[in-house]
Amino acid sequence: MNHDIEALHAAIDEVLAGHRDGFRHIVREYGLGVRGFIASQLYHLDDVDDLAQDVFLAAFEALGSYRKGDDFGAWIRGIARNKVKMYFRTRMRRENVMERFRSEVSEVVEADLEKASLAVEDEQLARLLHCIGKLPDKMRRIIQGGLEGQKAQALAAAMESSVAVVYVTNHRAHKLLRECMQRTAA
Amino acid sequence: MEKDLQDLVAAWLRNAELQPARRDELLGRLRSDAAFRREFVEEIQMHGYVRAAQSAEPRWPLLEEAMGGHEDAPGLEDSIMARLAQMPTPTRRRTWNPWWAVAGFAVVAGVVLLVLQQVNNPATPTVPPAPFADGSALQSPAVAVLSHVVEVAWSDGEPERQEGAELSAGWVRVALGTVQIDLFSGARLFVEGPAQIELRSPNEAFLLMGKVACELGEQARSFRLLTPGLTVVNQGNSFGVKVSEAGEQEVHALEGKVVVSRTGELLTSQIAAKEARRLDDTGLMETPFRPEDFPAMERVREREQLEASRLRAAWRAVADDLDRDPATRIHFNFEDQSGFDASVSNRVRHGSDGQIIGARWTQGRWPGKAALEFRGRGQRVLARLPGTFTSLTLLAWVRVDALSQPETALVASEASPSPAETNVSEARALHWLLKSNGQLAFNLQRSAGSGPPQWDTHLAPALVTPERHGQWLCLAAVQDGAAGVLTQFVNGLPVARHKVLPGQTLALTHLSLGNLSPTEAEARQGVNYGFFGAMDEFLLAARAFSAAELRRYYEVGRP
Repeated sequence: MNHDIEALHAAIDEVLAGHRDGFRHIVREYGLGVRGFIASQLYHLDDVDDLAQDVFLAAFEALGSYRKGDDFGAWIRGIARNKVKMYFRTRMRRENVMERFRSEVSEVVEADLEKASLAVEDEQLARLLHCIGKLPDKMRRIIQGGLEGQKAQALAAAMESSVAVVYVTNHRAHKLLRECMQRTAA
Repeated sequence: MEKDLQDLVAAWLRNAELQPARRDELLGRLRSDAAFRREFVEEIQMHGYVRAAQSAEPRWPLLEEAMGGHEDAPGLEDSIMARLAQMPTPTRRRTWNPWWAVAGFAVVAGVVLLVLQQVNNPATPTVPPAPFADGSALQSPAVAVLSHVVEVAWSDGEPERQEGAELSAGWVRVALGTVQIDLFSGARLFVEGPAQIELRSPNEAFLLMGKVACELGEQARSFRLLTPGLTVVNQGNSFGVKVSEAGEQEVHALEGKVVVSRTGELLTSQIAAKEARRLDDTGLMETPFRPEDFPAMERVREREQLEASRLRAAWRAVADDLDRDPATRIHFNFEDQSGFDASVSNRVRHGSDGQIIGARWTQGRWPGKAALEFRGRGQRVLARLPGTFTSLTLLAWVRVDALSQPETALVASEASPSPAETNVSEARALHWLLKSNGQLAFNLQRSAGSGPPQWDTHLAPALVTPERHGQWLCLAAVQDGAAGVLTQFVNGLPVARHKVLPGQTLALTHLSLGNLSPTEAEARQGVNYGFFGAMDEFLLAARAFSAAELRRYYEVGRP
């Protein structure tokens, strides 16, 4: 992610000097990235927002330990990773084998997800909604509907198609979105 | 979209249940197939971003609840700010953090650079060097060693401690996972996160919250573990103590009896083997004995193996990517080798394999990962790399066991290589060394030609100091020939930057890892450059890696 580093450092200095309003800048700059990072791993959007909130509160508390010059996005994603791990760990104890499976998957892909997050530029994320708007109708409906839970089946029924086709269309839509975000950034 | 990917995404999105065999199959492929893993990550990453972007104004249910319901709920920033108002202002941490040393040394390195530049430019007044600023003076004596770290997430703000690190008196806060702390008194603590424990001395610790199993062998001396309400005293046996977030406290006598007292009281009581007590308002009450609640050495070892396999697989995937980088000339990853191999396989075609002279195979960063151990005199690995370089990156994962001589060779190329071999008469050699005080030194031959070689020495701050001996460190040096900049890195962080002549050509035709033959004069004085430690990865690339690349490679490769 590319952010205005000077503005970030100024905001951190402000917060550490007792002017906590400076933290607004950090929430504004990193809110979408942190929520996107968590939403890629969690199912319930309420949980995503709860966890994102916890991440920012923890970041506020630990702000004094952030080392200027380090990638702040990576630092705050480190906090987010801890929160997601703890979320999975607590869920694993009381939920079913599929939740444990998802937790294992999350661990296996952790490094790749961090690598992929580092590669996404901030401007690209900002253009995502614009890119969604440019998708062909069918793809846009699937992307806007989402596939969590039983939505894939509902979408397939509404579009008089199969679940497999919905998934393939969603996959292609993701590729188009990625290309669009990179193209407009260039 | 292939079937495996579709099934995995559907399962991830809670749209499909999978049978155990299918789950294992998909997990196996995810672990072994980097391309499949990347494709899956791209899918869930984009899914997450789309979800987040489409609900751009997030709901903050907890905040809204705390602030009185959903109606007229505050916006994101206001919600956060309202919650923050109840929290103390954060302050810069004053507790010892080993990475301060890196930052401090980076400052010193800057000053060193300034001084060197000023030395080269006598018209400018010389700036006196800054005082020693690594912060190590703040460190109190160690009381324990962090022997094992299993699936650990450190609490927010805690330093990222590595296995083998010495621990001074102070707090250890673990958010997740288990650590084994061996105190110098002989007591062995298994701490399971979330936990907060304060090591007070080799003989005493205070558990504020969490679960601890304490093993006390016959060698352990007078150890006691305190909690907010209890004192548990060593009787040469093993016990478990837990303190919940709500303050509930229990003591379990895992092996043998345990002596316990309430804090502030002289009266002690005994808990017989395989019994447990909990503390309530009236005193210590019986409670069911549950040894399975506490981390045990066997389970810790088992999980440690699993975690090591996962970390090693993640590193291997990224390391394999580097082999496909056309700039990579030598990559010894020390994988897939037998303990009898007399050479190290180069994973890329450009340079030769490494010929092992004297060094012995040993364990690397993870169980099952090989490394080469060097024990000083004579031992080395020889390699041949034709051609010349203006930009290059050297990277090595090393474990330094001792720096017992003035200079130790990490990598050295033969001085004044024959022009016939390089086709460049001005090609220079390099020596990448460690000084006895822990400084990294990058020596560049001043000019090619006849006569004894002269060297320009570029020193980094003294970071490979005794407290880091025995730990795996990622050392790197990057020469950007076009910009005329040489940067040295420790564990992914730049610690020294030097100006060098732009465009100067380096020859690495005959390379030696872990040693360097002294000149005849040096040999007469008993000079020895032999490395005393181990190396479990070495990479040489014909381009300047960016700081971000090196940081990422360190992150994925750290044990």
